[in-house]
Order: sequence, then C-alpha cells, then structure tokens
Amino acid sequence: MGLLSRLSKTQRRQLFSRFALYIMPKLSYLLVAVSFIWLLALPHQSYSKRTYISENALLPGGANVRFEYGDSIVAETLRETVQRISSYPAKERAEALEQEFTQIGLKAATQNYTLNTSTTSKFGVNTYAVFYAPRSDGTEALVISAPWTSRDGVTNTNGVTVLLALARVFKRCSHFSKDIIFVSSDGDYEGLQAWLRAYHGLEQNDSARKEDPLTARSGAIQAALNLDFAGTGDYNALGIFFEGVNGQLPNLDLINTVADIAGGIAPVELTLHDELIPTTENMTKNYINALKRMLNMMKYQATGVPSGNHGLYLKYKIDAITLYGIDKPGWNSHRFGLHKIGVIVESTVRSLNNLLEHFHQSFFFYLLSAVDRYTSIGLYMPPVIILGVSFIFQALSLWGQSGDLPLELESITKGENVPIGLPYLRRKRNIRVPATIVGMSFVVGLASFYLITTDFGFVGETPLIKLISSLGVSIMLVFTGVSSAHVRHRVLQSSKAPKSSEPQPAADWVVLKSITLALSALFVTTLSALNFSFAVSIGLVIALPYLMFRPSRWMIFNIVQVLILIAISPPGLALFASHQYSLDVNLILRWVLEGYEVLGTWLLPALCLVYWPLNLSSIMMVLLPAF
Amino acid sequence: MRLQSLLKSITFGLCAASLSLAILGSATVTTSTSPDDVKTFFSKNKTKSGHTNNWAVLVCTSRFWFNYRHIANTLSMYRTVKRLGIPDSNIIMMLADDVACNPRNTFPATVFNNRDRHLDLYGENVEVDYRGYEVTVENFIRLLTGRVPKETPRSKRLMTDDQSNILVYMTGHGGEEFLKFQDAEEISAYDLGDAFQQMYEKKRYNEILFMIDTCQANTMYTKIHSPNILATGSSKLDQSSYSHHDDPDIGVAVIDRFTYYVLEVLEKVNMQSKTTMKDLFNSYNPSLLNSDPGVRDDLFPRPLDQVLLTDFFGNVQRIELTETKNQSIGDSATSPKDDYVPQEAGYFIPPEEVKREGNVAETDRGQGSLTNHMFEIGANSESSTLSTWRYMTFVVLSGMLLALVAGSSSKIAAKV
Repeated sequence: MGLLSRLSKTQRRQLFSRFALYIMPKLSYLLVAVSFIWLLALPHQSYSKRTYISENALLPGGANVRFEYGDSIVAETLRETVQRISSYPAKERAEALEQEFTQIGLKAATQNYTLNTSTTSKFGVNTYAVFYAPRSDGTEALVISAPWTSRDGVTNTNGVTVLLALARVFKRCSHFSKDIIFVSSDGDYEGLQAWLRAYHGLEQNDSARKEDPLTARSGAIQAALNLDFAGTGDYNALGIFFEGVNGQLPNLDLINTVADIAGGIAPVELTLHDELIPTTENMTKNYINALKRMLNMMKYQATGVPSGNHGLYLKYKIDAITLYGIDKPGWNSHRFGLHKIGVIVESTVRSLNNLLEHFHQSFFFYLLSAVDRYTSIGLYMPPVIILGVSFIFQALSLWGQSGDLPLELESITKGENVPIGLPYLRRKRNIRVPATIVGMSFVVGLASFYLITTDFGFVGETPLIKLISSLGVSIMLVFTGVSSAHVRHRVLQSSKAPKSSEPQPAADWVVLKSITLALSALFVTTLSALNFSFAVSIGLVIALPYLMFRPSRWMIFNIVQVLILIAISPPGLALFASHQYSLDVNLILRWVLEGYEVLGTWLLPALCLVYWPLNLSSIMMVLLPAF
Repeated sequence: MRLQSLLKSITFGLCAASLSLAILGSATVTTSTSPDDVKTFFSKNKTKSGHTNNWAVLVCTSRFWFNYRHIANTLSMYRTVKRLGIPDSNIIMMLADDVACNPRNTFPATVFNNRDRHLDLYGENVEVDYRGYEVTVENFIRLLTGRVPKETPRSKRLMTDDQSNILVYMTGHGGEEFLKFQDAEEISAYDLGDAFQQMYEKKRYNEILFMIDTCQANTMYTKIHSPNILATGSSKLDQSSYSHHDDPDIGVAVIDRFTYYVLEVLEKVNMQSKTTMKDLFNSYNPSLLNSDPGVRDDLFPRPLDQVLLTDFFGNVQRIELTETKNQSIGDSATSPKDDYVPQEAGYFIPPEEVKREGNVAETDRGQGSLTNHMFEIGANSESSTLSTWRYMTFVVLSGMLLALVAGSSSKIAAKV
C-alpha cells in the first residue's frame, strides 16, 4: 500500500497506463519466448519421470502363462489356415474364420457393414467370437482384436493367428473374471468402428451406414488390445501405438503393464510407435531422440486420427493400445515369433483380468518421450496457457489504446508532458468495422466447411475442387471487406473537419487485432485441455505472426505479412503437408475428410470453423488503412 | 403283592433321593474344604494367567483379489488357534473378501498360504463370522466392546468375561496409527485404545494379546493404555511390511513375512507346549522380515518368559464352580441384556476407581472383583434365603417324582 497510496489518483492512472501500453506488449513477447523454451525443455530427462505401475491390482507378469511351447506349434498350423483364408473375398474369409472359432468352442458370428461417405463407399465383414468365462457373472469383458489388414498394408496374418491360438489356450482356463471377445475386423477403421457401434447398441441402418446388429454379446468392455503383426515372419521389436481419436489417450497403466511384461517374463525390445533408435550415453543425442519421440507422439495426437485401430475403443471410454511387430532386418535384438507374442498378450490379459474396476489410477494425460518416461499434465500445460496469456496481454493493450483508457494516455505514450484534461474524457471506439469483418470471416468459415463436407454429386467432384471454391469465397470476402473499409475510411477522412474538438477514433485495425488475438487465446487455451498437441501446434504457428503483424506504411511489408498469413492458412498448410509427405493435395484432403466423416475427428471442423476465420481476419487486419 | 410293590418303590425312591442329596452335599463339601486352592487356582499371579477361557478375534480388513495374502494370513492364524484347541464358538473371524470363490482363483474354493499348496486353509469347517461388507470399523468396535444389537447371533458376539484371554490378530493395509478397512474407512490407534479401555471397564478380558501385521504396524498399539495387554506388530513407523512369497500359478502373493515367521514358531507348538511369548519374540528376525517388528509389554505385568504361547493361542479347560450367592455372575458377564439400554447407575465404575481396582485385582481377582458384578435387583440376602427354600422344595419334589417313576417301572417289571 505504501507507494501506491501516496500517489495521486491521476498518477496512479498514468502508472497503470504506462504498464498497459508499454510493458504489456513487450511482456507478451517475453511470454512467447518462455513458452517456446518450456516446450523444448519438456523431453529433457529432468522434466520427465520414469513410469510406474499405479494400479495395485494389475500385478503384471505375476502369474505363469498357459501359452506353452505346444501351443505355439499348434499356432503355426493355425497360421497356415489363416494364410489360406486371407486370400478369400471378405464374406467367405469372415465365415471361414468364424468356422475356426466355432471349432475351438467359442460362440462366433459375423457382422456385415456398409459405410457411405461423401467420397467413397465401403463394405466389409467382421468376425467376432466370445469366450464366456466359466466362473464370471458376464458383466465385464476384455477385447482382443486384429484387423485383417496391417498398418503396413499387408495381411495381418500373425495377428489373426494369435487370436485363434489364444482362444484355444483360454478355453482350457478357468481363472477369468471377465469374458474375452476376439474380433477380427475388416477395412481400415470402419470395420472395428461398425462392430463397436453395434456392440454398444448404436448400429445404424440408413443411407450413410448399414451395420448389422450383433448376435453374441458380453458385458461392458474394460480394456482392449489390438494386434498388428503383419506377415508370417518374426519381429525385431514390439511397438506400442496408443493415440486415439482426437488425441484421446489410454490410461498410462495399460502401457506400463505391457512394458513391465515385455521387460520381464517375455523379454522383447519395446519401443514407441515404429521407431527404432539406438540407445546412447550421449546427453545431446538422448535429448534429440526424446524430442523426436515426443514430436512423433504429438504428430499423431494433433491430427486427431488414431495411430491404429485401438483409437476407436477410446471413443467408448475403453482403454486400448495397439501392439505392433516391427521387422527391421539387421537390427541388433532378439527376434521373436508367435510364441512370445502369445505370451505377452496372454500375460497382459491376465493382468487386465485382475482389474477390479475400470482403469483409473494412473495418468490419462501425458506425453511420452520414451516407452518408460512420461511428462505429466502439470508440467506440459503451462506453456500453452502462457501462450494464451501473451495473446491476451497484447489484446488488452490494444483495447486500451483504442479508447477505453482516458485520452491523455496517447500523449503519455508519446512522452509529451501535457496538462491533464477531463478525467473521464475517452476516445470513441469504432467497433462496427472490426465486428463486421470478424463476423463475416466466421460465416465464410462455416460456408467453406459446408462446401467441403457436402456431397454435391457433380461429375469430377473432388475435395480439392471444393477447397478451391471455398478459397474463392474467402478471397472474395477479403477483397470486399478490405476495399469497403478503405472506402469508408477515405469518406470519413474527407468529411471530417481538420481541427475538430472531437478526439479522433483509433484506427479500425487496432480493435480488429485486439478481437482476433482475444479469440485466438480463447481458441488455443480451450483446445489445449481437449487435445494438447493440436493446441500447441496451432499456438506455435500463429503466435508470432498474430502478435507482430500490423498494417504498415510501406506496401512491401504488408505484402510480406499477407503472404506469411496465407502460408499458415488451411490451404497453405495443406500445400505444405503435400510437399512434406510428397502426396497429392487431394489425398491429404480426402484423409482429413474421412477422418471427420468416419471417425468424427475435430481437425476439419476446428480448422474451418475457428482457425480459418481467425486467419482471414488477420489478413484483412493487415490490409486495413494504417491510420 | 400290590402292597409289596408299593413299599419296594418307596424304598427305591428314597434311596435315589438320598443319593442325589449326598452327591450335592459332597460337592459343597469339596469346595468348602480347600478354599485357598480355589483362590489361587483362578487368581492371577506373577506366573499364571488365571484365565478360564480363551477367545480369538481374527480380522482381515482388506478386500480385493490382489490382497489374497491377507486372507491367507488370517486363515492361517485361524487354523493355528483351532488346532491348539480354541473352538469355533470362541473364534470370531472377520474376512473382508472371499478369495476362495473369486473367479480369478485358479484353484477354486481353496486358499493356500504357501507355494507348495500342501495345506488348503479353506478346506473344511471354516466358520467366517463377519464376511464381506460386514467387516467394518463399527462392527469391529461393537464386537470388542460388546455393544452389539439385540438380534446379533451368538456367533457374532465376543462373549468374554473377566477371566478370558483374548488374541486379537489384525492384518490389512495400514499406515501411521491407522488400519484401512475395505478401502473405505479406517480404524485409528486411538479407536483401538479406546475400545480396549472400554473392554477393561466392562471387565471383558483378563489378558489380551494384540498382534498386527500391516505397514507401520507398531504405531497401532501406541495408544493402548489399558492394563494386561501385550502387543506386537510387524514393522515400525515409516516401514512397510512385506509379503513373503507369491505363487505364480495363483498369480498373487500368498502370505506376509511377519505372519509367515510367526507361524513358523506356532507350527511347532502343541497344546502341552511350554513355549513362551519370549521365545516367539526372540524368534523375530528383522533381516528376514525386512522390517523391525515391535513388542509392547509395559502394560503387561507378567514376565514374558513365563507367559505360555498357549495362554493366547491355545485353550484352557478349567471350569470355575461358583457358589450360590454368586450365581448371577455368569449371567451378568455374558448377558447381552444391557445392549443399547441406558445403564443402571453404579454399573459403570469411574476410571480412577477401576485403576485401583485393577491393581488390587491383580493379586486377588477371583473373589474381590466378582462382587462388583452384582447389579441385578434380585441378588440381595433376602431373596437368597428364599431361593434356598425353593431349592429345597425342588429337591424333595424331584425325589418323590423319581420314587414314583421307579416304583411304577418296577411294578411293570414285576408284571412281566
């Protein structure tokens, strides 16, 4: 209270305005720097901790497995059957597999589905079999699934074989507290999606989706393992894929359980995703490897498209991961085949069988920089929030400049020592132009979203054409918005008396930039709680351009600014991605669109409905008259 | 003929009546001839516990399959005390979960405490008195203090008196001065100390052995302040208690270290064994237990090398015959009448008084303290003479009845 209370009211106001107008914009850049450095520090050893089993009930690797040597011999014969079946057409293949499950003694069935999206139509047949645990009450179940097609594009022969082999082993056992469901799904994601929808009683039968109801069911699914072991050979390492739809993650205990088993009773080399990086003692190399792995995870998370079939379970609050066999000839590790896969899966199922309630003990929000190192939400959330704060600081400062604060502030900022006028005299704030521009941008965003997602049915219709048309709409908006603002500005300038006693209102761009920054802060921070990686990637892309750019007297600056803003607009990003992955833009668009239509990812809606409008507003802001 | 048989039956009846009187008389004679023996036989002294009955309260407070070992611990103690002679009626067993029938159990309907699986603890004749969700702190304290609802069956009551030795064994997950019940609530060391004090005030025990196997177990007995309680725990403050080994076929740990090594001593004990508490406590080996077990004997007056293990783990078969004037003692000690009913004035003795009482009772507990139990209205001298007359009339009448029966039977025999 000491110093502040002794100052006069006016002096205090001056102090605050000095802070608001001078310090806050500078502080915002400092905050961006802090945020960047913090993010880069996350993969470092000292910011991550070793993972540990949090749920006492799991007891990973505590029990002997029943999958014996003899079972792996039988599995090899089963593999030949699976190999033979896999060449059949979808329907026959599913029925042949159903036959195999029935022979083992499980209740098996098939499910047909058809999915129509705006781009394609997909048909497939799933096979599923339920092993009813002899002494359980049937209220809970675990799922082991294997898609027919591996993520490599080849047949998931070993994966499906392990399903059959395990079904044989489980049939002998009496220690299950949960039923085990075996699912062999067709297609990419849509097969398992159809099965899961039907399992939860959400099957549809209309023009978009045709999903058969299920004839065999069990209780609530507690957890699931998805097996992806392409081909018929052996593997060097076991990869774990865990990112789900919209960046949802399974409970960390599930990954820890597999890690514990793969490090204990069934020793295999375990890694995240499909990357095999040699371990080093070099600090810098270690950091770079950890950064690579974390970025890889964030990449999967940010797009919202799951990194494997397990991602679909997460939508139904079922914790799931994909176990993937990495075959990298020449890699120095013990190779493993059907027997070890069987042991790992059986032991994991035994641990899951021990669960007394749904996974709840360990983390649901984490970043992994190695298979046994995690960074918890408490450490990784602050940088995004700091980024949001930096946006808000700028926005507040601009809002203050545009007129909320008393008039003398402008003189103060210029360093002039003017006599203080009426204490409540304020500048009139012109909000009409910025509000119209922001409103129109959002309407255009909605229109482009509608354009891209609707099937118009004309010949040669591709997502690219739709994107180009929506690009045309937005260019039209920018052109009309900017030109009319300029015209309005000229008219106002000429009509006004040169020495009016009325204070001049601030330029339109000041308020527009303030609104854009405030909305960006809102968008990024809200998104960070839902999909951290997506929020971080958007925040990093827009932070500096949105904070720094403003209309300049020199045309060349304005053009550079606009070009950069166009580069980070959704079409620009699509072009960048196509260049990066050397794919056709059309393919990338199709992939995004399918993600939205089949899986319900937020990437397309978020980009069209929020990101693009803000980008358009920023472009127009730069093109507005500077004074 | 008829007269003769009548006479015969009368003489026979008289004979029978006098015989029964003689037996009753002789009984009074034996008690009256050697009163000193009786006094010392049932009274507590430096070497003898002086108890007349044994009870065991065995509590497993944890649920869930992965706590299999706690159930196995408790069942192992149950087996031991039963082997050493405490009957099911005197064992209160609380098991918070039923692992034997858990679907995860590879060997259904069994509980083993060793990897070799030679001994099925759940084999036959296991009486669990409190099971599942009945195992709560409230039920445990009510059981100890005897304040159970009226409708509680005898199997769920601790019907002890001032001559009962009680073994209280607890196992589960605990911490500093608490023990978790069912993952839902916990009993604190203060609750336990208070419950024992209430037991002492209500004269519900002669001596207690409190044994606990949990993390930081020794903190649980720090708040006990009632006399004649011997306590032992598996680990000291900030120490965990560990499991001994697991059975990979069952997939869980099957027994805790402390209990395992206690059982190792107890397994060599039979009903006649002279093994003492000191032997048991000396057998504790911190390097095997991975924790520092503790013993608290400051409340326990007898030297530990004269306290037999069987004083707590076994059973005594001594029966005290009380004199007529003390007839109501047995009722009052075990009577559940006073549950939930406001106590009559004078029944509860203020703690200070009890303390003094307790000191006196150590030398002469048998007679001195018994008079304090007399709170029933009918137990004054006037009614005692009345009851003597009633008794006499009963004896005479029953003698006559016997004579009549004998006579008629001989008549029938004569006819045949």
